[in-house]
Amino acid sequence: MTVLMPVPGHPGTVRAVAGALVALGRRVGAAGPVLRTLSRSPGWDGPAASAFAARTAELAPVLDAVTERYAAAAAVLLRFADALEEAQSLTGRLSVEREEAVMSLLRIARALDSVLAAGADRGAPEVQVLLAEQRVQTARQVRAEEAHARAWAAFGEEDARCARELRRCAEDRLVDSVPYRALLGVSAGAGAVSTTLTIASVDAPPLAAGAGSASVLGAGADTALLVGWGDGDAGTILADLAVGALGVAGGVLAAGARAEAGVEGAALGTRARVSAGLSDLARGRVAEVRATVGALGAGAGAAPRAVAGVGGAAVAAGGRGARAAAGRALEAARERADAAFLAHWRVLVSGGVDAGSPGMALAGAGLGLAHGVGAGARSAQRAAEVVHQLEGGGPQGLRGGETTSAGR
Amino acid sequence: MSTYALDDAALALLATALDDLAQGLEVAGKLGVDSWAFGTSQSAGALEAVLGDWRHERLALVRGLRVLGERLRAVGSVYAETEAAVAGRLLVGGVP
Repeated sequence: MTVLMPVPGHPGTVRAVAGALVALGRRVGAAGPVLRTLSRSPGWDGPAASAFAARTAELAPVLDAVTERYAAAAAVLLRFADALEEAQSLTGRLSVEREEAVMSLLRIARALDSVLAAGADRGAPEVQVLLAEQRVQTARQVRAEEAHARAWAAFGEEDARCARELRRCAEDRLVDSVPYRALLGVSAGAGAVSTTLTIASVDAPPLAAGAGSASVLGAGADTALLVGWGDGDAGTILADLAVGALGVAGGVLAAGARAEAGVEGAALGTRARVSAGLSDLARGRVAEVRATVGALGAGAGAAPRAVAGVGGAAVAAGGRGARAAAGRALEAARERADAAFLAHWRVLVSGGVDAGSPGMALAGAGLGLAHGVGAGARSAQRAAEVVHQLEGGGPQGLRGGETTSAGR
Repeated sequence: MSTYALDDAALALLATALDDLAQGLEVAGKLGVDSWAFGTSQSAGALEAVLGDWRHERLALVRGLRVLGERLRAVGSVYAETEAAVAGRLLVGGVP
């Protein structure tokens, strides 16, 4: 007996993936405003502040695009999860319905055989009752099968719509260019071929030559990615070439080189707080900072302060009432800016952990973001301390209000 | 005008948050979507595109966030050290 298959899948996992995207998108989205607010601080100027602002200006549009992409994709996934759940429920019900009809038909067939074997005529009332029931159950089976096919077709349409919308989410400024993707494909393909042949060459040494060629091809593509786009690292490329040159033994070198490779970036800059009258000591420290952090130099003055740009043009000439109203408006705007900044700050530093939710942690789910558990938990613990300081007025941490010095 | 004062601890916290974010983005591009969860669907493939087809910008963002984190952490420690040194000079009686 054939069985109608319910739609497979796990809506809960799809929702968990959507939740992970929302959590990551929220953190990315919070980073932009926090960094922008800090970089626009009128209380922080000098080379380090300029470098910070320049770096932030580069990152901000990308952060915004990531936030938008993930939020849009998460919304699409949530709709898909609902459709999947509904399709599973419907196809499951119809499968059961059809199975019940089939079982009834078997029972009716056995009863008919029994009645006819006992000598009953086909026109006998009990035979007519069984035949009528047989027609009902046959119609029930056909209806279930047709509805099941329609449910599958409807889910297929929903799936195609979801896929289209997800692809639209990916059509933004972030998407890799065609040449980049082509080179990436060569790199990945050559890597797979090289690995396979290298392993196989243990038993069949002639294959080592093929592995070497694939490694060189892959290394060439990786070099193009590194030179053309600044992605990857020389250690990986050299390691891949070592694999090609040394065969299996090179794999050990490759692993070692990759373990050593890190993400390298340009210096941002720094600053030091210098107290008036103690300039020689402070200058020494600033020089040390310059040497340590990079060539951007350190701006003297107060510690970094981020000042929300509220109410700059709020007050115009007018009477006392107008000035008071403007003052209240300014205060309200300031409070809103404080609240917005602090909200972004909390989201950013909390590691995406919000009100006890698992945040990015998705161990066992379809998307392996479990790495975020430890980091998120650490951040959440520190975030809780800062929130406590905010609420309890402790001297350390972050607060909004009138200008205060920092770096104490 | 609202001003947000960030001390060295807050800067270190911000740096850690940026590091965490960079790590999350770095991993996000390497994720494989379990297609079983999506049924026999096209959506799983499309989701992989959402997650994985922005490698270049993602790696640049990861580098940028890590650089910011490193520098903020360096700045924070310098503040703390400078403050401690300055305070120490004040306590013992003046400018050298």
